[in-house]
Amino acid sequence: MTLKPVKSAPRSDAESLYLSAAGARADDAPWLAALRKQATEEFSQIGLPHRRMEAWKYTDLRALDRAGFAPAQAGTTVVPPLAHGVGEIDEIVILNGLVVEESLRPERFSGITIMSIRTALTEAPQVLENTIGAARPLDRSSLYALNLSLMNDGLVLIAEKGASHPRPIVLRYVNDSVEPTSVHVRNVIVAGEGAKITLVENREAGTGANFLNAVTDLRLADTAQVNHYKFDQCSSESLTVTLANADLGAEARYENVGLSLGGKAARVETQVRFSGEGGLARLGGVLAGEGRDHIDHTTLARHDVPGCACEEEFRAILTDQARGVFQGQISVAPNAQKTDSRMLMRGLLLSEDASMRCKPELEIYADDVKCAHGTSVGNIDDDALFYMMSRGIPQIEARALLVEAFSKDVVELITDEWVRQQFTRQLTDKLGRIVGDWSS
Amino acid sequence: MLEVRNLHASVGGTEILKGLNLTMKPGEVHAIMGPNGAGKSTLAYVLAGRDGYDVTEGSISFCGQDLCKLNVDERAAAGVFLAFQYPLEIPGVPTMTFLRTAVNAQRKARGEKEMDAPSFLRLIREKSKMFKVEDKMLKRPLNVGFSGGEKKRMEVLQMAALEPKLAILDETDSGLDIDSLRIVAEGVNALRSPDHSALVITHYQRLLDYIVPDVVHVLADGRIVKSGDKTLALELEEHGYEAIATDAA
Repeated sequence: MTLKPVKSAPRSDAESLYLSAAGARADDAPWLAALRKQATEEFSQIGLPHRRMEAWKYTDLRALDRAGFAPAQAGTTVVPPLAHGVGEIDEIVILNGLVVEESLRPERFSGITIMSIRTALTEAPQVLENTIGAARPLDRSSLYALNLSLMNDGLVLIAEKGASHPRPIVLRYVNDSVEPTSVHVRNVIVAGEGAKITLVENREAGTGANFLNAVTDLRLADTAQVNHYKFDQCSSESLTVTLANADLGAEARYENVGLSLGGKAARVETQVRFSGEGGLARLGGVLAGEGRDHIDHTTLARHDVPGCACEEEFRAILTDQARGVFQGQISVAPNAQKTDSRMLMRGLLLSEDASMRCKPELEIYADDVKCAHGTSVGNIDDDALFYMMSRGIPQIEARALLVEAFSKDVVELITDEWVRQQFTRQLTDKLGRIVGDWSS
Repeated sequence: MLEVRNLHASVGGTEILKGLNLTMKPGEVHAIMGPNGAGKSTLAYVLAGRDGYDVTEGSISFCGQDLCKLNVDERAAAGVFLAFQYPLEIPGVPTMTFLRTAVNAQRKARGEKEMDAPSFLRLIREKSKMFKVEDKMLKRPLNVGFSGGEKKRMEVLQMAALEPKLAILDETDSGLDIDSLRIVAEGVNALRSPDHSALVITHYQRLLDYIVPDVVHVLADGRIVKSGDKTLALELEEHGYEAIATDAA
């Protein structure tokens, strides 16, 4: 599906800046050169997504990104490790949009091929053509086109049939530019039959304002299992737009849980296509915003075959003038009987000016399915607060406990222990600030 | 220990308590009985300091402190405990975390040393046994999925762990089977000592068979209209509130 231009608006500074950087790269294969050309044309026609496009109604990037972010130059920083414990995780660094080759250390993996997109362009072009070249996102925005047009690098990870990696593979997006810069990263994850991997995308704030536009394609063969987590520490001048585009084979399991801790605009989009019977996806996210943060979690689950299940659990905790958006679409094809889908979004607004927009959408063409959705937005329960304080717990502590409790159901979706601890720690730190400011 | 004088309190602009007087000495157990709408629960909430229950006149002195000047949590640390008629379910907050936070918050507020994990576990294990609170209840989020009786036993467990100077039981007997009733009563009786008092709010005389009060008060239309010893409760049971209230007026 290609988006039609909604109307021809004058090109913004940001759009002109991105287009000036577009063009063929020297090592592009013909298929990639053709894709880039088409994508550049698409972006040139449509521009940045804006509020008159249904999928971007509440996250108007054209308004949020007026000046634009120049393409990043190669970084020079030596990035210190994230984890101090030995052998806890396997880190891979993407600095200013380019994979730090020394951080790949392929000897850590068995049954798993790992390389950068740059290397794959010459050493495994067929893999890229079969994945990036054949990618059919359920919904393709002009940012996806921009990503195709401008991406230079990213991670390629191919897990062979039956391969299983014991530690989380943590992909770190680091930016050391001082000037506002943008990076456009494309990752390709292929999990063979029965393979098991855990991938964490860790978006770090970086030194200056920056724009991360990352697309990750995931192909899960039959019975493969991919646990995919996202941590987003986006600063208040920065933008994050990530798209996970997963295709699930029969009885594959895909878990995707994201923690968004702010940003001028942070959009986390997850698209799941069930292509084989018996697939299971568990999607979740916590949106924790303060100040003028704008956080958007959008999911699309498409059931093309019978007997798949999708569970979605999202929470938003917002204060000050922070804005949250949740859009969740579940679509069930006519033959996708016995689909079992449920989606729950709950929002906690801790100030008068915080806001939350929810748009659940069910599109069901089969008649023997279970599909449920629910959304609610409110403040802290005064009765619960009184109950806790009547036991001697000071108000600020009682609030913190209640706010933390609010996101428990999402945290419990996470099967990986290291990730769950990180998630809890980062969230608790953020909530401490939110609740602290709020009660003062 | 507790001295309530000419207490007037309103909820949402409506006056509910209209000049209530109540004096409790250390170690005493007082029962407050009265018809629906008399202001029994309002009194409990006013003592605990709930938002929206405004004291418009009068005073409450507790162990020499002006209770009205303290926040809800400060009152708890000072030794006031309210056992709820309908204890709340709090999803996501583990029972043990809640209990430990409460115990240590009170200790901290009183300038005492916080309890370490092993001593806290010992304390809870001992009290749980006493009130038949099963391990699996302690492992769940606070009160979530508990039956009515289990919730009340959890209230008594909290009370026993916090050792308040004044325990207020707001119709704790409502909806309880006889076994749970006995356990709740045991909890109050075990706490009973020269330093620990209880204010038992109830509709029925039944609970007072198990918790024998020193003084019984009849609360009607926002005032205490009659006080007496434990026989007053029996009298009420026999003749009804109306007769007593009319008689007193």
